[in-house]
Amino acid sequence: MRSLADVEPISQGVRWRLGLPTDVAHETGALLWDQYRGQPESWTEATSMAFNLAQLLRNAIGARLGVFPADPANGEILDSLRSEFGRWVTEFPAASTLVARKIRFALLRSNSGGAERKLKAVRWKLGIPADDDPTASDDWHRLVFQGDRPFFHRLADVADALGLQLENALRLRFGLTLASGVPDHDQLVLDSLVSAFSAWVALRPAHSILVAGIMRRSLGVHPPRGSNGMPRPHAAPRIVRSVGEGDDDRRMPECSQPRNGPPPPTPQGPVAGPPAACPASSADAPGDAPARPSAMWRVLAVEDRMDRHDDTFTATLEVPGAYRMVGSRARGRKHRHDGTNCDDWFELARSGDWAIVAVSDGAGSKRLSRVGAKVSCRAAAASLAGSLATLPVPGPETVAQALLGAVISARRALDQALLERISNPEYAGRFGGLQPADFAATLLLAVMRRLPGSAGGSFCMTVQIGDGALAAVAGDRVISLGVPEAGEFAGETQFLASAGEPDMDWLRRRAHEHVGHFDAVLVMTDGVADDFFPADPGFRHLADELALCGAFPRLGRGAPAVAGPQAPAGEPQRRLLEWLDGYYRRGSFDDRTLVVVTEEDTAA
Amino acid sequence: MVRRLPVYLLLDTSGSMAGEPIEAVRQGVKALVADLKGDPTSLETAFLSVITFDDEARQVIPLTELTSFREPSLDASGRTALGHALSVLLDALDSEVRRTTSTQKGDWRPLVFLMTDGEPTDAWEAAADAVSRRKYGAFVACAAGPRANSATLRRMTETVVELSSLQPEELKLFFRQVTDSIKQASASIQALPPRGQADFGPDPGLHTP
Repeated sequence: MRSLADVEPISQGVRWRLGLPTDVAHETGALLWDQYRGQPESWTEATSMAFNLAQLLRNAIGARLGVFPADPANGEILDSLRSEFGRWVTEFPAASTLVARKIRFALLRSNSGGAERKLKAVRWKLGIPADDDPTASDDWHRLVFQGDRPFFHRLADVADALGLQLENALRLRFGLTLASGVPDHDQLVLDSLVSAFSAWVALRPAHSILVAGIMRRSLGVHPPRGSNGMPRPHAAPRIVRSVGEGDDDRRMPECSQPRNGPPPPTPQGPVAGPPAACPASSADAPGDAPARPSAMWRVLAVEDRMDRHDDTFTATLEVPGAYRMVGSRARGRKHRHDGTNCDDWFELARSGDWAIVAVSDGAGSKRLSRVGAKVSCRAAAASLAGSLATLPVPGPETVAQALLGAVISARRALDQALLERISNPEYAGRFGGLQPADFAATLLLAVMRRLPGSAGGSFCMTVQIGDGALAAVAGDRVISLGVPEAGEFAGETQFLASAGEPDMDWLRRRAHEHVGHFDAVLVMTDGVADDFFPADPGFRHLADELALCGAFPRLGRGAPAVAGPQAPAGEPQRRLLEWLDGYYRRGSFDDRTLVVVTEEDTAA
Repeated sequence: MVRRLPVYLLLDTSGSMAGEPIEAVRQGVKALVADLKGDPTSLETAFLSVITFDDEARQVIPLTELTSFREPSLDASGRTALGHALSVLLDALDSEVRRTTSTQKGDWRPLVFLMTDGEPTDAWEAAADAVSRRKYGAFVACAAGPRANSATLRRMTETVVELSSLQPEELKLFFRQVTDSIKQASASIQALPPRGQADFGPDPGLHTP
């Protein structure tokens, strides 16, 4: 058994490794960690440390869900950890996806149905505000108090599964193998969990003391019996800070030096609360609780029956042996808050060997732009399906002709939509004189087919009017397949209705070509493109997210593999929709539409 | 990185505002921030800056997100350096408001609210012309009280409101209108007009009496 003095340099090294505040300079911390890692017992001790620290999160979540007994001494501390966990989930879309997957998987075993509602209820209970479903709290109470026993029994699994994420995150940081042994993690996501954990530790002296105690216990120091919270004098070696190393921001606040804190907890014992005489330094003070925008968002159904768009839509279509297209759209937070329609639309079509994608985003300022989005997508897709089927010689020039024909058809469809409504008294009464600009919408088209021969790549051609994004992800590369027509400020874009008279010159300025293999072609409206800006590395991260959400096996080299026993069952288009609808980004209110085209193995 | 809705408040703190009027402005700013914090779109997007001007102008609060915004202390004394205030605004627009580039998300077009109760006492015409050439989501100028000159303000913006006096109720009303137009702008940020129609922003909800 080590003495407290022996442990001090080790714990400084460990603190350095975890990004916690240390009493030593950066280089010293790194050195201490390296020295410790060389010792044979470090592996078992680090394993124990990861497990014991992760128990904090498991207990916090279990207590919140009501399946573990609350810890009266540390209840507030644990709840603050739970809240920090919620913040982490909210901040990182991939974390949100990961956690949703873990919860869903844990609940799946209850076999009592309604998995999605249960997921939302659990998220609500844990204070993860990504879904502001107003019925989630009701669902929670119904499930718990009206005796859904299988559900209740699985909540302990939820706590275990989420605690395991922190354990794995810490294990990765310590250079250990994963506890679960299933390679379904994303190193970056788990790394960010360690950062969130460190931020929580630094938040208040009480957190730091609790964690220091757990570390010491894992390092084999046990508290003397009956010391009753009094600091125990000891002769910890003072590690001399190298001169000239301005590393003060990594130091603990003076008043919360863990080695002078109360003795570490016994395995079952509670830890004393924060010492009263030790106010947090101003940098650590949480201050006013920050306002939580997510709690203010309402979700209102669309009351207006006129030209109504569904809240969400998801679809998939295959070109056998060549492509799989998966697309989803979801009404934006802003529209949900206001009870207004989703303005996005997309269409998937197939014509012989060709895959056809049309995506459109109706201008937010125009009240019938959703109609423009819908009719132009439909007209463009139908036009392409016709013209590509009868293409005499497939090649850049003839395909460009087909795209031009599609754009012209889409414009005609706008005129037609205007004509149909302009003479309708119901519309006249509501909107007065309608104009083409009232149907303003962007238009993004992509068509592709496989190339003949053994190499068997793709020929892909696109055209973009207005904002949004078209791109191919191939290995580590992001290939732009469109240029958004946007101004220097946000919200300035072009629309199909104001595109002038399109001719071949006009089209060539807006068309892009890609020849070769790709992992995915992504076509999206601004609501998604903006959240993953800039395109490189943004769309590579997007591809990673898509792989993590389980909708796609693997996109891009280096994307995390999610295959394996833990990959959730379910149709890819539904998983894509869940992900698209579920991720949270600050300032991201817009409708979201994303179509993903992947090459199917021709050999299969 | 989030797209921000930059909001600039240009507040006259000259001697004639001393006493009740400056207190009303102080309360107005406080109420404005509290109100915006209750609106989710504003809370996620609006960033606020305060520029005050008397003998000279200074940006007392740089562009700051609502959650960390602290009301500035406002004291009224001296003259009305409106020209300097406009120069400070131009500098702030150049240095703080982000334009879209290939690697940077642009901000939403800025909103500017200017409140003054007197004639400028420095050279202001050139700065006013420079200010009038910029693009805004909205630029609302308020001529408060009988000594303010709306013709001066019209050189910067078409949207000028007039308050007949510096009574706290009138100033309070103005700040409520400012709050409403910020909320409205952040609510319609997906709806800013396309390039080529850039002369009008979202309806600021304020009208010349």
